[in-house]
Amino acid sequence: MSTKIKGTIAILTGGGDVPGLNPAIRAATIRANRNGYRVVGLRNGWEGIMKIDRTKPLEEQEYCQILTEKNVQKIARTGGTFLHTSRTKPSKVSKIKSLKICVTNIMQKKMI
Amino acid sequence: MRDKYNAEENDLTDEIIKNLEYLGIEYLVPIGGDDTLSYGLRLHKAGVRCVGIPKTMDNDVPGTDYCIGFSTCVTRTIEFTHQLRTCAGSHERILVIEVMGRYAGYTALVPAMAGASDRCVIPEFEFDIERLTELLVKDRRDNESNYSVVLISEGAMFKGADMIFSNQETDAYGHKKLGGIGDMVSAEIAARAPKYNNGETIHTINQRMSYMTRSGQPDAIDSIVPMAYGNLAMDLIMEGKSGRMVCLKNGRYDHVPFEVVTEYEN
Repeated sequence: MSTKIKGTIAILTGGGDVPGLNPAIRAATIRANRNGYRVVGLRNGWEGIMKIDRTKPLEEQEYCQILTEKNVQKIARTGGTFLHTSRTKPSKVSKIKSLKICVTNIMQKKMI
Repeated sequence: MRDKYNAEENDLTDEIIKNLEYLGIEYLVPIGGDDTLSYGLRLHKAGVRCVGIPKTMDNDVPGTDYCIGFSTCVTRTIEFTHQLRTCAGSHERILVIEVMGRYAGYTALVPAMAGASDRCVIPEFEFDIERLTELLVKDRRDNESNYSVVLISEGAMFKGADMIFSNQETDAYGHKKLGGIGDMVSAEIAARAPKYNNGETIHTINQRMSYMTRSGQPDAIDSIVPMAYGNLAMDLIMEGKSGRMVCLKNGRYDHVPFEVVTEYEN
């Protein structure tokens, strides 16, 4: 794709796993890529997007994966979810977990 | 920031939005059941452009006739139930199979209607254990091989009783872990069966299907529908639309306002 990226689309899977998630990820990725969009897989459902490190570029994020026609081509044959999943609800996060995320963010800010 | 999230339970939505902005994400496609999608709706209301794709093996997301995973669940349930017939037949027992299904009985009802079992009990209707035993003993007698089969949704309830939970812990969405109804039904049937069988004992086979029904590779429907849902979601994004959930309604692919996902909450 030499043309300018039209936009960035993120995909995530949440809740219990079922067969059929990977075919959906595959189809969406291929369609978006062929139409000039960049596709990012967010790992572990809502848990992953909560744990983004705002000092690192997207490509180096532990919970992000750039999806391309090449790396999703074979996943439709398999069950489960290639992006992993969680039952995390970001509007209801325990004190300990919230603090952990905040402390990480504060530390990251000091590092800059 | 440390003071901001100091409560026992905190809403980290502001952080999520900052993270999405940081990554330069313009559209979000959550694939999930009503819990996952209800949080997607929350983000949509906060200005994040979302298009949802419904998924649950229970087939219970509001606003759509089909959720990814349901067909494979039915396929597996029919397959494994038929496999267990050899054991039930050889020992002339009543086969009691517990399947997943919290509030919706489709995962037990559809396989039962397709001939996987003689009877089923589902969360939508409380069942009478006395009547169920009587019917299963009769089904067993009517079967040349002298056995009968019943599918039990994990969310099914005895008449006048509540749901059976394996423990009292809840997840972030407030759901307790279900489980144990199959064991109870199995024991109750064994205890009551002699009454309808001239005093003779009938043993039961008690099998929990559990994760077996969501295991393995997708069947044909769960290969085709997700392919269409993925493309449909991309159609919407390319047309600049968001705040929608893709769906299959009355045999047609379509999309509905994202708000439908919270339809059952009231």
